Amino acid sequence: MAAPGRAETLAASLPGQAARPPRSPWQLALARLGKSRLAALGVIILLAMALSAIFAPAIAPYDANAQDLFSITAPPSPEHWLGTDDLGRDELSRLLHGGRVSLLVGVLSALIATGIGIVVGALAGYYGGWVDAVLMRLIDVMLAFPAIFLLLILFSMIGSSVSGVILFLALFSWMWLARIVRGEFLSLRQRDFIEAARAIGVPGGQIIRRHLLPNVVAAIVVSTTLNVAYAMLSEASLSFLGFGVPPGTPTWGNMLNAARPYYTTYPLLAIAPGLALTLAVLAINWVGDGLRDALDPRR
Amino acid sequence: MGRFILRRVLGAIPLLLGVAVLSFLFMQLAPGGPDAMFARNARMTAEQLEQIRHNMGLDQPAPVQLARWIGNLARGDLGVSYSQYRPVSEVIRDVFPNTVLLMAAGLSLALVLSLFFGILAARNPYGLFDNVTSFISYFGLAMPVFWFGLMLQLLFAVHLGWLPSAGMRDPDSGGILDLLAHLALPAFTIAIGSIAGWSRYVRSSTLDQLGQDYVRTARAKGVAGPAIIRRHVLRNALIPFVTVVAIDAPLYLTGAVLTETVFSWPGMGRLFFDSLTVRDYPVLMGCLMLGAVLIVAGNLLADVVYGLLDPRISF
Amino acid sequence: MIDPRPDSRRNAPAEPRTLDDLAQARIDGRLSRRNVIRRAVALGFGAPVIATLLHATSDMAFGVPTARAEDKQPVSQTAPTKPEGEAQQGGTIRAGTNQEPDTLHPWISQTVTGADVYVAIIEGLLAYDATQQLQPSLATAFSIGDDGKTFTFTLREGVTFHNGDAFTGDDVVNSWKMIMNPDFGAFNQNGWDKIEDITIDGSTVTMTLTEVFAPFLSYVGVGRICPSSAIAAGPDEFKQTYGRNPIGTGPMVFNEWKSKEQITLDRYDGYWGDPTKIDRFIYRIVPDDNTMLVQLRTGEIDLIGSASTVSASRLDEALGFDGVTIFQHSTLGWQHIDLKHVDFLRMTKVRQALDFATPSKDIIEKLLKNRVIPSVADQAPGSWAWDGSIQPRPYDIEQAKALLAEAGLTPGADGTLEGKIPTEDPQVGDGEVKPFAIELWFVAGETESERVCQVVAQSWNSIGVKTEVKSQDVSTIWGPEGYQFTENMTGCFYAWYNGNDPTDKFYWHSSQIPASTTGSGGNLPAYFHLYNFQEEIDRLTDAGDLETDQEKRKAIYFEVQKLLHEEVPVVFMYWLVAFPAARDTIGGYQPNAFTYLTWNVNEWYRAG
Repeated sequence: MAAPGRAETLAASLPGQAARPPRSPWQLALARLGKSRLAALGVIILLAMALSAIFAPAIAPYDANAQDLFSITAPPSPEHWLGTDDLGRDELSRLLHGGRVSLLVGVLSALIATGIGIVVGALAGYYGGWVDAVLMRLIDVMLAFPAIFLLLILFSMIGSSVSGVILFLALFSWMWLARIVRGEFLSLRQRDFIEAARAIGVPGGQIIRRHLLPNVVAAIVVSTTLNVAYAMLSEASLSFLGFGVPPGTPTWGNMLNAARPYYTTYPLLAIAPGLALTLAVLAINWVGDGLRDALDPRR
Repeated sequence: MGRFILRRVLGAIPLLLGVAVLSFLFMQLAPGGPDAMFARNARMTAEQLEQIRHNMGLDQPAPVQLARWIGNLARGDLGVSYSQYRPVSEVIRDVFPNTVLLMAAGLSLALVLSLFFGILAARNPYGLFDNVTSFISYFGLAMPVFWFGLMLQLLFAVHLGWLPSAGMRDPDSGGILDLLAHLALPAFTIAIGSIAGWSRYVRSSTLDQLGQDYVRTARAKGVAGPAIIRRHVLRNALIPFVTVVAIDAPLYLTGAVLTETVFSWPGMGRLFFDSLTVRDYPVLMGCLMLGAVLIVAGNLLADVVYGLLDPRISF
Repeated sequence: MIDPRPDSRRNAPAEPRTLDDLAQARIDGRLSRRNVIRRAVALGFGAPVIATLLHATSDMAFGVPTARAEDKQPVSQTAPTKPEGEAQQGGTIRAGTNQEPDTLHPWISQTVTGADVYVAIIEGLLAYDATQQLQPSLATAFSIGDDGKTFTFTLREGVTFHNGDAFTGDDVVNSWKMIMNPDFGAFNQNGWDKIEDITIDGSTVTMTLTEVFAPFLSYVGVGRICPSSAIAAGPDEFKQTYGRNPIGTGPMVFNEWKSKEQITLDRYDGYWGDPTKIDRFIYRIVPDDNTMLVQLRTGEIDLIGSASTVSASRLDEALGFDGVTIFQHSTLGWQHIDLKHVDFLRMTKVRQALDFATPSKDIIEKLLKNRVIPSVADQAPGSWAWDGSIQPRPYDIEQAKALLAEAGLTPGADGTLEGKIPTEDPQVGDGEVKPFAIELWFVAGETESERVCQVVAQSWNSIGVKTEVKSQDVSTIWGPEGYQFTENMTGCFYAWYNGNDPTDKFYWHSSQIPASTTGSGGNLPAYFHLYNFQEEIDRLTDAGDLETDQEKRKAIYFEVQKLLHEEVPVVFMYWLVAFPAARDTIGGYQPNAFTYLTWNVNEWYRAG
């Protein structure tokens, strides 16, 4: 939702669809090194962000909501490293606390989406027939919705909350994973070892868990990682438009929203949260790509 | 072929019906119902409210309303706007061309740039150019689109003053150059994600083709590199790319909401956002349906184009 | 090193002893923020005073990187602008708005920005001028019968609509009928619904009312008259098409409306009065405030006003623009804190105490930099019904504490006041014991409201009234789940906007208490319990609506204002001030509180 082309392009380049050039072993090694370097860098950035988010209350110089109404939109100073916002709140503290909510939204909604995606994909792929037909039509309908429109309408109607944002973002981002899982299951379930397991009366749930799911772990891990980035960008977009996490709660999107009237005069208020978000998403994408390569069975 | 298209078009109808029904249900679930916009007005009496509900058919039972909404939809009637008191189709028709213009400009920009960068990168994989574009693409994919827009605006419009910061045209000039100047920043903003994503896609699918046997054969026969790319590789590499583009293109509507808000572009995104703040549900539903139609049409187009371009697929 | 000024030590400022000393020391940079706070506390100043002191000195101390124009201030314009240079004939004037009009149909438009445009196209029998006086328009004269129920208008002769139709009494009658047609669904039937019958006698139109209704002219007198030919299309057609293609008798003809971009009006050469000097008026829709200011500076737009003005927070920036004048005028919007009448808030003394404990003066002078006007009641300063003799309660913590003690509230274990809530008699605490805890609400996203609420809460907390600032988005706060429908002690900070007539039944009358969570009416505080002075205010506001003699009416509204000030049903804070702006080449522009943007468009011109 954050930008057209993103979700689909990423999904299109998931395992099984990505094209790969032939390379000499030397080239391959070099490429892997380069890739894994980015992935390592991504992991380091993410770890740093996660730690600073977890310990935000301890390391933030001020309470994120403490207002100093009489030092409004102050420029950076030794007291406020990144200055203060339009209510005199310390920008750095809000940035740290904002990372907390943004990451939380990203991780939780990606996990929920993954859960839904696995269940729906597994059911459709394993049972096939009308179950598959019904679930696939549902996926088609869900994919036909312009997600941002619907989410904006939903939040404007029901009012927004952090949990609402997490839940509804998850509800609109599980479909690609479900399709992948289903596809893999459909092809796998014709294979001999599954037929054999079924023949000797192994229950369906057990077959799914023991034999089928391990084959789609790579897809699941990669898709979850990318969904974290997607959810973070979406949260920021919704909050920027004023219909995401309730205003006042520090998130990077809310900070961007609040900075908007002042961004020509106090650009730092808009630059800082945007950079933080970009960096986080960048790191997640690097890690996602690294994971894809590492987990690709064909490598 | 014709039957294939027909089949797909017919298949899209239940899909849109599903979207319509779901949209309607969402509206019904709205606290205060779709008439919340009027109910919130402290100066409106209960009788006036009842009259308005009656005039809009909101006093009918939900199934009746649903049947009427679907029936009207089938005839292309999207109802009457709550805030502008005129047909929704008219409201949308006023601004849709502007969004199409923005989307088209963004798409063309994305196509040209991603093909350029992608093919160039594929010619020397893991070379300097490839690595640099790869690194930049990562940023392009990671940036929130509205933030990128704000930054462009800040740099090119506010600080450098090279381009207008908002709107679609000046009241005086209104020429094509003026339009292009206004279009530049929003088009680039809306396209940045696809430029980044597509150029990587073009690169890898070009590389994929370059590794195929027929290319090796051609090379062995002494055909020059650029000629191979032009004659053989591009065509085959473009097939999957075209489908990606067709699927992605409708999502520009989504990007338009954010981009148009940042650049005050007079299009669907602005209409949607303005309607949202006054809770003009018929217009919101109209936007939703139009978005769904575009997405479904994009997917349809992807299928058809895939079939047309790839001789291996028969119908 | 030799000190060139041997006496400098002796001349060094003495240890700050007063507030002024402190402020000066802070401005001179002799004291850090922390020290200012420490010393102020030592000198015994309360938190709000310290806060405002810091604010007053913070700009100087830290330097705000906006364009500051110390010598330029907003201008109060009491006559049309008269720039140097000849008035040009022809040309275009462009105004900017940050909100697109919903429709130009005068009977269904709900926005000020819509009215800002349609008043140039469609006229009423009468029109307000910049001093809140009714002036002739389509009627050249009017009279009110002795019974107060008969209004006679003499119609102007030789007036034609833009489509060539002659304007007659039939247009007035048809307008009335359509506004009252339930299938049409006019947004506001006020006044029109009091008409029993309209008779036409040549160019004389007589309206007979079912009852006396003093604000009649402020609704029907200035109500817009549409041509019969357009009305004849029927309610649906008329409603759906006229708003995008309005036809009237005004000085400008509708030309074109490009959605989300601009509305264009042209001069009407057949106008009955002085035709406009300009050829064209363009209303540009610029949703972003940043962009609007930029366009004002570069001359892409010539003026802003009425629905869109410079926000107080951008004023310094805008004052720095060359070739642009910023105006200021009071508005009819009053900011106040609703006090929902439940528990302790039903007691007059408690409400008075909260008024004493609200640092309005500091908020107005320091936080809002005097860019608002203090209010004591619900009539705007400058309006004929305004009682200028009432003084606001001073900020007096001791008096507040004393009043709260008289109401039976004493500090509990944690310092929060507690006492018995009133049951039968609102003034006597005889029920269960409760702590005095107030939720203070504001609409999320309104930065200025948030700032004000924070300062108020700080002060109320300091006298033991546990005050928590809360916010919700605009649709939730006024929706069925809003603060006014929960039986907590709450305050809510927001603005009401008066009409040009002083009628104020809407805010206080018992008939205006919403009957349900979606009901109508502006008397929100009395939702659970009637005001303790409800009978009196009902009687007075009714009387005001029934009295057509302006002097007698004035006396009634003076009484209302005294009662409101005494009883403090809400804490009156301030009147909003608007900051319109225009480029210095625009003549004839006279922004004010009582009219819409284009009310005198035929006087506008470009100077050059």
